[in-house]
Amino acid sequence: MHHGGHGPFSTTDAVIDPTTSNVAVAGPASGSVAINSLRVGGSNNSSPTLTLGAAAFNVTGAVNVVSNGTLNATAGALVAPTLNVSGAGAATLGNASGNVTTANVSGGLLTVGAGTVGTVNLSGLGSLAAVRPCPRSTSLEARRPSRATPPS
Amino acid sequence: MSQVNVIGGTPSFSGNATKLTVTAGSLNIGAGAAVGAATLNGGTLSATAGHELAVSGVLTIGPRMRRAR
Repeated sequence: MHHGGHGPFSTTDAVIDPTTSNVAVAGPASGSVAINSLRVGGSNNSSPTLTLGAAAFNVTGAVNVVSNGTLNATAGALVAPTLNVSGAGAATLGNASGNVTTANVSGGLLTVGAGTVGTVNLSGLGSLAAVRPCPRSTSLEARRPSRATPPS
Repeated sequence: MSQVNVIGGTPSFSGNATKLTVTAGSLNIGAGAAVGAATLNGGTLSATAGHELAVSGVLTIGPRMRRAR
């Protein structure tokens, strides 16, 4: 990781592969870390975990959490256009400054405790858990059928 | 969570979202699932005992019909 003077930290693609044990990236207490893409892998025999520290982690490309990989972005804010969770991957977003435009969950679990997620596409065996305040009221309003054919 | 789309498979959903759209697949409703509006254009919803989907706004089932002239 390289510190570019007064600008944000910069780095290339970050890959946490099955051979890597748990990794915690603290980052600066304030400021941001720029990453091209991020991948937290895993395998049947390995479950690497990446924990983001207190900083804004700005990923310009995709964040992929695959197989048994785990991503914890609760202390730090994950800002990314795309977050893909598949296999038995697990991603937890819990920082109010986090912002993911699109999350695709085809397997595993995405937990959103805080922050902004624009669109979540669920498929396969993917699970989504979102912890937010509940709507106040509950009502059901069904659409009326078309009146194209009047009753005889 | 602004928008949750269910596009296939048998995913699960719990928690809150502004809008839920199911176009394919079978969505399993988990604990505390609540949305502002839901649209079911395809697929199915299923819920385990004790779990329900709370819709605080409009629930739309099926494709939107055009008004006859």
